Amino acid sequence: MRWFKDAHYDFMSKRRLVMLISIVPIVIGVVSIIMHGGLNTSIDFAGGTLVEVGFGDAVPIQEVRGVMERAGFAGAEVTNFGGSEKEVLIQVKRVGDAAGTARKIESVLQEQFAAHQVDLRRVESVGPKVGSELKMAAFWAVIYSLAGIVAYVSWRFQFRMAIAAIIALVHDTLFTLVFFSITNREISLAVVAALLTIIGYSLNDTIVVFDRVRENLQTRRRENFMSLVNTSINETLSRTIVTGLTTIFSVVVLIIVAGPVIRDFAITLLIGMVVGTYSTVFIASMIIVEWDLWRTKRRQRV
Amino acid sequence: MVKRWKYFVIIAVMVWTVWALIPTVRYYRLPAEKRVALAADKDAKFVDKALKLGLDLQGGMHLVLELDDSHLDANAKQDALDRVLKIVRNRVDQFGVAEPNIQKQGDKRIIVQLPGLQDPGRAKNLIGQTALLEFRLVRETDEIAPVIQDLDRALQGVQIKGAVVDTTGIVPEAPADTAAVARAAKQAQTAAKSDTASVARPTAFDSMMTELPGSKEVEVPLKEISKDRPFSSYLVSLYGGAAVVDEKDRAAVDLLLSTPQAQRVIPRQSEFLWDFETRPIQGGGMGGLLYLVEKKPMLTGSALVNATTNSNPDDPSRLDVSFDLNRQGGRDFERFTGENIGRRIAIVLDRKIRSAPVVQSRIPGGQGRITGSFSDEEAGDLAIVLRAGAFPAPVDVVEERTVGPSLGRDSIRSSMRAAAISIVIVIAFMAFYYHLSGVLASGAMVFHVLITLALLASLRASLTLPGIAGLILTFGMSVDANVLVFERIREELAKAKTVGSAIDAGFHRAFTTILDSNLTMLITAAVLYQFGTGPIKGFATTLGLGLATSMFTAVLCTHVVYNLITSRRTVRKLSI
Repeated sequence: MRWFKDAHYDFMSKRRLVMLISIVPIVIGVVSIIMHGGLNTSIDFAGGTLVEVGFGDAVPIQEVRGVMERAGFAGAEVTNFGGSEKEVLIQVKRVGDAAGTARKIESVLQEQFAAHQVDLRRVESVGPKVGSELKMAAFWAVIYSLAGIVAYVSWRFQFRMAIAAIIALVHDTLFTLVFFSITNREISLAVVAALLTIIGYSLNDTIVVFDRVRENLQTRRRENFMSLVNTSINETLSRTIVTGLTTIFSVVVLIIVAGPVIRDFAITLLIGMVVGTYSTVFIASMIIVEWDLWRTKRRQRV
Repeated sequence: MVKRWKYFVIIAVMVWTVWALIPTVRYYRLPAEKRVALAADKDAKFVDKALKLGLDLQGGMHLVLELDDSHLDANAKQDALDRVLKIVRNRVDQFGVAEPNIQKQGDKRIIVQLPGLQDPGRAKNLIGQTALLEFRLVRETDEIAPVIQDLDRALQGVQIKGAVVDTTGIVPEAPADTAAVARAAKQAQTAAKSDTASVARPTAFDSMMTELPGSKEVEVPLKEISKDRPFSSYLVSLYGGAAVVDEKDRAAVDLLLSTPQAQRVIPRQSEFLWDFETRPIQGGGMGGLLYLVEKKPMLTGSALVNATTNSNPDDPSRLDVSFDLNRQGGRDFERFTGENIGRRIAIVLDRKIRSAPVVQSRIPGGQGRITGSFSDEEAGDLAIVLRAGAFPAPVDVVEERTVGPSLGRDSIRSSMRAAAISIVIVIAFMAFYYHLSGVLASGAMVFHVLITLALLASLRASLTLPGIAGLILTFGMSVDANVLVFERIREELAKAKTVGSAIDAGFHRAFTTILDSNLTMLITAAVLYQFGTGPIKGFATTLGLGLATSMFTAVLCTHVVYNLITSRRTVRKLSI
C-alpha cells in the first residue's frame, strides 16, 4: 500500500487562492469575535462556579432552572451534560465569592432534589483573581512557546523558516479560536492546553517539510527555490497524510468515546490538527517561497 | 551494523519497565476495599511505587487557599503562611484522609489535595475556617437600649435600596421619642435577670457554663416602636441579652450597621455580632440573634491546650465540645468569671457567637465547654479546629476543583475504552499501510506506552484524564517517527539499494528530522508543564515523556529488530 507515490502536485501555483481561503474566514471570524465582545471564556478565566450534578432519574431541565432562579442565581447557565437527562451542568460566572456560591448551589440542590438522589459529580470554583491570573498565565504560555520555537528553528534552520512557521502556527491558533467563537464554545484551561499541543503538532509537521527543503537545498542547488519547495512538499506528502491520519484517528476516538469532560479538549485538537496539516502544506511553505521571491526581486532592482 | 551495546540497553530498559510496573499491576488487581486499607498502611511499600491516579480519576478535592495578611504587621507576615500550612496539615491529619498533599504555592497560597474524599463540603469547611475562638463579655440589655436609641437617631434619613445603603439623607437634629425602647429594654433585662436566678445550679465547673434553656427566656415584644425608627423597627424583640431580627432583614441590618453614621454611635469598645443559631419568631419564620459584645476578647483560643467532644449531661443525644486551657489561660478564665458573675459571656468562633451563657460563679481549673445543638460531625470538626489552632489571619478558598467518585469512575472507564479502541485502530492502519513493518512499528508503540507508564510510576507522577488523552495522542505521534523512517526506506529502496543498506540509510537520514520535530514539540510540552495546574501538568508530563520514549522505541528498537532479521539471512524483499 502506498499513497502519493511519485506525487507531483503543483501546490505553489495555487498559493494566491490558498491565501484567500485562509484569510477570508479568519478575518470574518476575528470580526465576529470582536463584535461578540471577545471570546466566550469558561469559569477558569472568567471566574465563577461550575457544578455538575447527576440525578438518580431524569429531571426536566426547566425544573432545575426554576430552582436556581428562585435560589437567587438568575444568571446561572443550566444545561444538560453529556447527552443525558440525568446530568445537569450549572454554571455561574463572574461571582466574587466563587467557593461560597458553590456551597450555596450544592445545598440548594441537596434540599430541592432530595427525592432524585443528588450526586455532586464535579464542583469547580475559581475566584476572580485566580481567573485573571490564569488568563495571564495562558497568554504568556503561548508567547513563551512561540519564542522558544523561533529560537530553535532559527538555530537549526533559517530565520525566515522560523517566521514562516510562526505565521503558520498563529494561523492555526486563530482558525481554532474562530471555530470556537462561531460555535459558541467556551475557552477553558483544557482548550488552552489543546491549543499549545496544536502549536507543537503543527510545528512538528512543518519541521518535516522544512527539513526536506534544507536537505534539497544542499543536493539540488540548481533548482529554483519555488519548485524545490514544491518537490519537498510532494516528497513528504505521504508521511504528512499518514501521520495526520493516525493522530486524527486517535483524536476522533477521544471525542466519541472518552466522555464529555474531555470532549472540548479533543475537539480543539481535531480542528487544530486538520488546520495544522493544511497550513504545513500551504501556509508555511508558501511564506518562505513568497519571501524568496520578494528578496530576489529586490536584489534584481539593486 | 548495530553495535552490541544497543542490545544491552534495550534489554535493560525492558527489564526495568517490567520491574517498575509490577507494583502497579499488583495494586490494581486488588479489590477496591483492600486498596483503601493498604493506602493507609505505611508498611506496604509497593503501594507507594504503584502508579497513582489523579484527583480527576479517583475523585477528590483540590483547593487553593489564599492568606489575607493585609492586617498583619511585617513581623507576623513573615511566618504567617508557614503557620497556616502547619495548621492545615494538622487539621487534615486529624480529619483522616489517606495521602493528602499539602504544599505552599508562592508566598500567599497553599494547595491542598485530598484524594478519594467522601464529603467535600465538610472538608472544605474544616480546612477553610479561621477557627479563631474568643471569649467576650456581652453588653447587658440596659447597655444596649441607649445604643439602639442612638442608632435610631443617627440613621434617620438613611435608606436601603436593594443591597445598597443610601447615606446621603439629612440627619435630623431633634431626638425622637426614645422612651418606648428604653422601657422595653428595661423589661427584658429584669425578665432575664430573674430567670437567671431561678436556674442557678450547684458549682460543678461544667454546668456553670451551660446555656439557659430557651423556653424559660421571656420575650419582650417591641411593638411600640414606630416605623419611622430606621434601626429599631427591624428588631422583632429583645431576648436574653440579644436583639432578635427576622432572618429576612438580616442583610439590611448588617448594611445599616456598617454605615459610617452607625459606626459613630456604637460605643468604641463594643460591636454587634450575630449568634450562630437562629430561633423561631412570632408570626412564623426564623430570627437571628444580635448581641452587643465587647471588642476586646477576655481570652482567645491560643490559651487552649486540648479540645474533646463529650455528650451533653442534660441531653445525651447531643454533643458538647469541652476544652482545657493552659495555666495562664486558666487563671485568666477564673479571674474574669469571678468578676462577671451574673453576666453573659459570648463564646465567639470566627466572629459568630456559638453560645452566650450566664456566668453563675467563678470557674477555676481552666476547663470549660461549648454547648449548642451540634451533630456528631460538627462537634468532632469543631474539636479538631480548636486543637489545631486558629489561622493567624483569614484564609479564603480562591480555587476549588472537586470530582466526585462517580465521575472519576466514569472517566476511567471511558478513557480506558478510548485508549483500547485507539490502539487497535492505529495498529490496524499501520499493518494495512506498511504490512509487517507496520506491525513492528505497532509493537514499538505498545512498548512505548509501557515505558511511559513505568516512568510515570517511578517519578511518582499521577495519571490524570488529560494525561491519558496525552498518551492516546502519542499513539498517533509515536508511530510518526516510524512513518518518517519507513518513508525514507521506501525512497531508498526505489533507488534500487539492497534491503539492508536501504534500512540503514532510511534510519540514518530520518534521524535528524525526527530529532528536530520532537525537540520542537518538547518545547511546547515544557511550556505546558510550567503553565499548567494539576491535570494539565499531567498532560504535559505524559506528552513530554511520550516524546522521549517514542524516540527510543521507534528509532532504536525497531532498527535493532530490522537488523536482527536482515543479519541472519539475506532479505530480498522488505514487507513495507
